[in-house]
Amino acid sequence: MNKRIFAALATVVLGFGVIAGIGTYVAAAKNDPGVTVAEAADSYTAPDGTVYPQVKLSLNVYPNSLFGGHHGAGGGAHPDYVSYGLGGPNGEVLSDAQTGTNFQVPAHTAVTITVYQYDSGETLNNDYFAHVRGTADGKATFVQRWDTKAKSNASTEQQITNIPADMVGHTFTIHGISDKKSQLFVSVPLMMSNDEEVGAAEEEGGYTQFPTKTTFTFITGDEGEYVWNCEFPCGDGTIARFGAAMSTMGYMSGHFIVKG
Amino acid sequence: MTTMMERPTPTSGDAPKVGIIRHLNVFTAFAVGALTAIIVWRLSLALLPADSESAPLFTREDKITLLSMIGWFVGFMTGIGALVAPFRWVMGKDLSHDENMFLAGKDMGTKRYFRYTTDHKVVGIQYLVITMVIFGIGGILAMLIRANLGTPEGGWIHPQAYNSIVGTHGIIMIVGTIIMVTGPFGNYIMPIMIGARDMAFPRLNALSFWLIVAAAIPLIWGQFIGGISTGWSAYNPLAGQAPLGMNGYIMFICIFALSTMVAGANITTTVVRMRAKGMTWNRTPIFIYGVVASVALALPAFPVFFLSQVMSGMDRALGTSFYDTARGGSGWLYENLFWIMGHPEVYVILIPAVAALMEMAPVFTRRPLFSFNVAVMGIAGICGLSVLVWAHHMYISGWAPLLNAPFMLTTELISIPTGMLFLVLIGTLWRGRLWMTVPTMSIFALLWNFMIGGVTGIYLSDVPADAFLHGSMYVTAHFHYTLMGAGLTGALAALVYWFPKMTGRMLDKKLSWISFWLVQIGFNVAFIGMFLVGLQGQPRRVEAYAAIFNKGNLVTSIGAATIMTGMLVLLAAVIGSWRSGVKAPMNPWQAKSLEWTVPNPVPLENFETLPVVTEDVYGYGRKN
Repeated sequence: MNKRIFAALATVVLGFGVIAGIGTYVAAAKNDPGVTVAEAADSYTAPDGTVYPQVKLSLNVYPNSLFGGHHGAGGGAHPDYVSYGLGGPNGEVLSDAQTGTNFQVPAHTAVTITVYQYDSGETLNNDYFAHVRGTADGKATFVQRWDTKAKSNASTEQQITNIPADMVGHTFTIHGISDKKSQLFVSVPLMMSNDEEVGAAEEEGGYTQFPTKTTFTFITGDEGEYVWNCEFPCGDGTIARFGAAMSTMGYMSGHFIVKG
Repeated sequence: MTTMMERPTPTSGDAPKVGIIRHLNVFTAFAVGALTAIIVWRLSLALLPADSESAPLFTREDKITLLSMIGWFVGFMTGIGALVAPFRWVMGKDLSHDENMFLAGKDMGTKRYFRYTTDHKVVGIQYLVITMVIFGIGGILAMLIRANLGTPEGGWIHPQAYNSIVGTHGIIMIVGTIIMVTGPFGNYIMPIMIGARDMAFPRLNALSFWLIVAAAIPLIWGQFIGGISTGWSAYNPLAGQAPLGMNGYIMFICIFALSTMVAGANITTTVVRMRAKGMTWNRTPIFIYGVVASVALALPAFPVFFLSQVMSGMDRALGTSFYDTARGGSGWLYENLFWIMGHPEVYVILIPAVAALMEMAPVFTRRPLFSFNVAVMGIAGICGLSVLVWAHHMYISGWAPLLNAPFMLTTELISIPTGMLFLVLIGTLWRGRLWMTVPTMSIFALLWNFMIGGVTGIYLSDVPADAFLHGSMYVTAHFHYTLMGAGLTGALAALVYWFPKMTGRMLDKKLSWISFWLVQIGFNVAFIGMFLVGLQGQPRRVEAYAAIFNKGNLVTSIGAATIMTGMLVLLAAVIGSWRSGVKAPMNPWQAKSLEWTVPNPVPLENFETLPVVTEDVYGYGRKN
């Protein structure tokens, strides 16, 4: 074979090898936190009397990533970013959980999510997100102070349809449009925890003993993959604070997969 | 008070006295740049106050990042030797004759390519190599994009990394295409073509090149601190919210804009002031018009881009609110500033590429250029109109809807001078005795690709059609047809045409033909597939898509792999031919322009005696 043609072939092979190598490196570096499959629970009876199979998820929201979890020991690349994480059934901090912001639930099922909110808060830009929207009964169950040591309510449990827009810690908002034809819009505001307690606990390197607790249930439709995120601008840094943790998947956003 | 500068005088004796310049090169530049960046970073960490909890903005990290990048830039330019002459001027002195000869790369062999060399031929080769590197990196990123879009689900690459890859691919390819003709050929060929010994400002010439190298590092740096997740346009306030990597984009654009401004002033002055005796404007080759038009457009456009990024950096690092609507700024301000650069920039890329093909057309048809005056008018018309079309990128943004119609009109009008250039090319080919070379075929390829790119652009210029097509893959396919199908085709033809003069070797004929067909076929397969999915409604800049777009995306990915194969074959041809290709005669194409009258390799001062032009450069077949 002509020497120069051979050299050209070698360049093509080498070139595609370089592309494959770089691609493999980039793909391996994605540090995807994986997917948490929701646990099955007793059936759920909707307000209209329909009975649905039910699954449950328990999540925590932290003022930083030092809890570890899917970010790794010490909080990973951004220990100062606020973050969602998988929590124990009573709000326990799961520092060894390998998944945290991607969830999978079945279709046509009641999904009950409990969020223990360990962070303080401020005022929402858009008070639309201070309202409970898209849940099965239009409400959420709220506890202002959950005692993580006693594992019980430290204040009265109440049903809410909204919270004051200037007391929002974060929100859990599933965007309505999926990658398929199904639609699912759910948005629940999560009340801030006591500012001083959050600050004091952080100084001691931990989290407040009394997070807020919010529980809500919604019904899934057909299969589809959605993006969820927090609608409270909690990303420290830059304009409107939608940067940093807010613009980095795996902290205040992730995928919500309805499948099976 | 007046300070008298000392006149540089030739030094006597055998050993030239060149002082510190002798020790400065690309390695010292990288070392000093890195060291300065580290020092500035450590000082910033130590000295900058922490953001307070009550502060409305958190900017410390941005300050540290930007300051470190500025430290890199200053260090790099010091290490390469760019500040030696300005420092001397401040001290009331100038470089000596020996130092100027050293800077020109006299008797320095290959080392001159790694120094702050002022010889325009060295700068031209440096530009050629860096353009190839840029296209190599941009091409790799393109292949990663296509690989991720191989299946509708995407997911091979993390969505954020994917966004950053798309943004980086975009901006790096735009920069590559901006410099691909005016950089290598505008620097190497243009001064010889007009009969000059060098550029008007040789040190500015070296400066313009090394600024690009300095700019590249912040962009790469940015990839490791969050990337550029905004797309190449870096719209604010999105960019204001983006990770720290955005600072890399800001620094990259600011330094690149400086390079473009410096190069633009230099090229314009050279052409206006240094043309050979007898080279009237009517005898000035059309390629020169193309290069000057390109930089003339860039001269007002890039300061605006520079300014837009300075303001973006200030919003991020100093807490200003140029683009923050909540605090009195405007996102539309950024959009306007960006596209005031962004649309003329399309013609900054296209005009010199088309002009290069117009330069070659008479050579390979052995006919005069068809209507030289129409060609000049076409270029001038495009230049004039191209600064009045920017808001067609903003029809759907909600900014000044009443201006949509005027901008639609100016955008559609620009088809007329563009059509003039088509007319000149077709008229030159008409009944010519075609010498079938890669440049000749490239003219046909340009006519085909630019026709598709141009016609689809007319639909996008139309407000109602744009409301539907805006933000879709159709737009992506359209601008690839213009910038790559037309622009890059012209640049590759220029490479084949001027390769013998620049390297003293002929570019391998067989491999360049193989490359040409692979690239052109692959290109049309790739981007016609992209048009189809765009018309079906696939949005651009998405890492996953609906299953109905699968086939079109598969076609596009196959086409992209074919383009990459063709480009790798060309790379092999360039490297192989440069090292051991057939030695080129002085004028292998029997062309009439001045660059073919100088021997290979071209002497340091180009001409022994400055030429006098006495005849039409396109006088093929005429009795003069």
